[in-house]
Amino acid sequence: MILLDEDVGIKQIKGLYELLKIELDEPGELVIDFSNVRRIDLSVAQLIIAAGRESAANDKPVKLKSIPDDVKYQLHLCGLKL
Amino acid sequence: MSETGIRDVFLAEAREILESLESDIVQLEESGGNQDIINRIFRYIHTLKGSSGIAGINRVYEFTHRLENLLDDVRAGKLSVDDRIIDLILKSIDWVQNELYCETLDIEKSDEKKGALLLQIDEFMGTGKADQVKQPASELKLPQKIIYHGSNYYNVRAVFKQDIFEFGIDPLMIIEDLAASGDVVSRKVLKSRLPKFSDLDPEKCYIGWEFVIKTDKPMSKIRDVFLFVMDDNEITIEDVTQNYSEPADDPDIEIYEGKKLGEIMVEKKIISEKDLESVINLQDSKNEKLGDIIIKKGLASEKDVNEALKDQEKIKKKLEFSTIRVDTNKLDNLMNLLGEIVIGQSALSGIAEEMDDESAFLLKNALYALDRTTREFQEQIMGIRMIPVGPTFEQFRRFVRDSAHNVQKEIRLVIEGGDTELDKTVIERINDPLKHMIRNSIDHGIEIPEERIKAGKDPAGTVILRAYHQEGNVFIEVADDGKGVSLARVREKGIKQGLVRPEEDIGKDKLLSLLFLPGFSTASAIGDLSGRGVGMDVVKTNIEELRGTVQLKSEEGNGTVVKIKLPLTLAIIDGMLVSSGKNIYIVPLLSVVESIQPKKEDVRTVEGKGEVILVRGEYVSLIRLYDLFGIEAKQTDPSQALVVIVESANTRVGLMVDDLIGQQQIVIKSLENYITRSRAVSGAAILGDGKVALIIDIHGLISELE
Repeated sequence: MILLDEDVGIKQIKGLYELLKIELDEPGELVIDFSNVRRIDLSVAQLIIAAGRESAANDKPVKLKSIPDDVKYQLHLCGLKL
Repeated sequence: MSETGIRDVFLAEAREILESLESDIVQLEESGGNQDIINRIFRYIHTLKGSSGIAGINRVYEFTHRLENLLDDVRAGKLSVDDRIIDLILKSIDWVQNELYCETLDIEKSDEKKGALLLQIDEFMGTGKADQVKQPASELKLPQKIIYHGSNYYNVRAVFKQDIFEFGIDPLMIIEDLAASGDVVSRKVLKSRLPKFSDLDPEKCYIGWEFVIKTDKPMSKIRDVFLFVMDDNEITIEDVTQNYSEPADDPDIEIYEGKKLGEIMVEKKIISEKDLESVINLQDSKNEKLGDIIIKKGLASEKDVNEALKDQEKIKKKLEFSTIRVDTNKLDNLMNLLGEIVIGQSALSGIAEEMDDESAFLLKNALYALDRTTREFQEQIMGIRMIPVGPTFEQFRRFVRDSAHNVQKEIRLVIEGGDTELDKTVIERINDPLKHMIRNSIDHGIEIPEERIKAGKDPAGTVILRAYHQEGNVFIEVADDGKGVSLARVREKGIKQGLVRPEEDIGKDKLLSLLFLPGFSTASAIGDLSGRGVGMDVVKTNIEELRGTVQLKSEEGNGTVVKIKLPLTLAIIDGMLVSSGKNIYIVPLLSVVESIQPKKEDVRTVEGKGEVILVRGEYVSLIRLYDLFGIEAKQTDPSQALVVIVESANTRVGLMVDDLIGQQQIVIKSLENYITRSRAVSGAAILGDGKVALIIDIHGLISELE
């Protein structure tokens, strides 16, 4: 499971990318926990979308957990179906 | 745009927003929670949040985000508008202001304040949200948006350059702003550039958008959302209103900006004015679109109507692009350059005067034409510099509110003539004098409610800030309905300070003018706001520096009016050129009453008044210009010289000069203090032959003599 920081964004994006790379290679379900997150930026949104595509191609389920309403709206604007 | 550029634009924009916010919040309190004002305040906070985020000022972004949530609850009616919430919002605005503009910001203290404010915001929000039913986590609840009933449809395409994150810009924030500016009719996320996860560079931007937004806002407002990214990214905004068939609530809405469709068709001679009139009558009764009726009646083809509609769109777009922000230094430079052109023009006129052939005639004619153009040019630049006084007045709402609370008084601020325009430099410099005068009204003018009731007045006092144009000047008045100035106390104080002799019979105006003397105050106690004996003299000095005058009228028991007269601009004056010895001086034309050559017997010396001349039965002090400036004149006998009678604040004096040269528009060049400390000189001008002429400050001259 990946627990995202309160203000996850461009400053942490490289680290998050590397972390996702590792997790996507691991077997089983990938859970990304948004419970601490207040808002995201576009770098996070597009990384989540790309990770979702990758996992779908590999039949690996990804679960986005505890997404606050504001962040849900942000992901919705980026075209993510929740 | 560079990061610094973005920050600078944001800081300029935020200053305007914060000023408007203060005024709106105070008006919200006075109105008891007017929904339109609440919506406006919400939008301001929302813009501050969005723009601070884009400018990378995260502390302000995070704070305003929380403040926006509070306002959202107020907007939704979950929290009611009361004193406490108004205080909290005002203090929050103060915090933002301090955070953005304080040059010696103490981060620790600022954090402390922020913590306390956020705690209060949380407390309010906690109370407000206590009754809310929690939504199931699975359900997507979109944040409540401002409801628009607009009928403009815009197709917005935004594709950002891949390195945009490097500039501290988050495109998602911009898109959130866009979505909040209206109803999203359709949204397409452009993900084709997004590579496979393994090929992704997470620090690059790949996603773009295409939106259709329905809103009541003009295109310029939608464009403002992209203010910081417009230049370097692929942003297109297209008005697609005509693709949406929804009828407008009011047939006029489709033509509210720019020209009307019928007007364009008449101009293009597609239909006649008579036809248009009949179509408009039909439109009123049928409530159909004008274009449809024209086609149905066979007055024009569908193609003609569509072309006219396209023309109308072009005009609209032109209008939307017609306002830009300009650095005021650029305007100042432009004015200075124009001044140089005027100087060059005068030099050419001088040369033309000395020529004596046909070429001189042709040159003079060409110069007359050029003169007309430069005058118009001058007027246009001056027009750009003119801004309404309203925003400056509005800033005082907060000041009046807080000051009145401090002295336990009820005071209402009424603003009149806010759209009166004045030179930007003048507006910037009247702020402090106005504040002093309002302070006086609050502290000494308006009585406490009990006293007012006793005097048969409304317990709430009124301070009026009024502006208006009159005779080429701008007048600003600060009026209150307070107790007025006690003439007996002014007299008593004047006697104590040796300014008035006990037996002296002194008029009301003269007595009131004592209030403008340094250190003169009738306040019995030193208040928090005023009463320290400084203030009105500072007001007078500041206004006089602006070539203005200040007058005080007061009726004991009924209130006081302080009236300021200001020139429209500080940059140019109409001047009369006069000579004394080898020098040329400029007398502002507004001060000139007449020019005379006095008779020998009309020149006298009166004890206590010095040299005077008799002008129409009245003695006027005579000032020999050559004496004033310590130069040699051609004429030292007043009966052989000319005397220019000038006036300021009801006092007339005669300036003795050798000759009158003529009238001219003068571009004023300021003289620094180290060149002259005399109040008799307000500046200088460069004449056509390159010589410098001093501009005589009549008001300063008279004050110096007194």
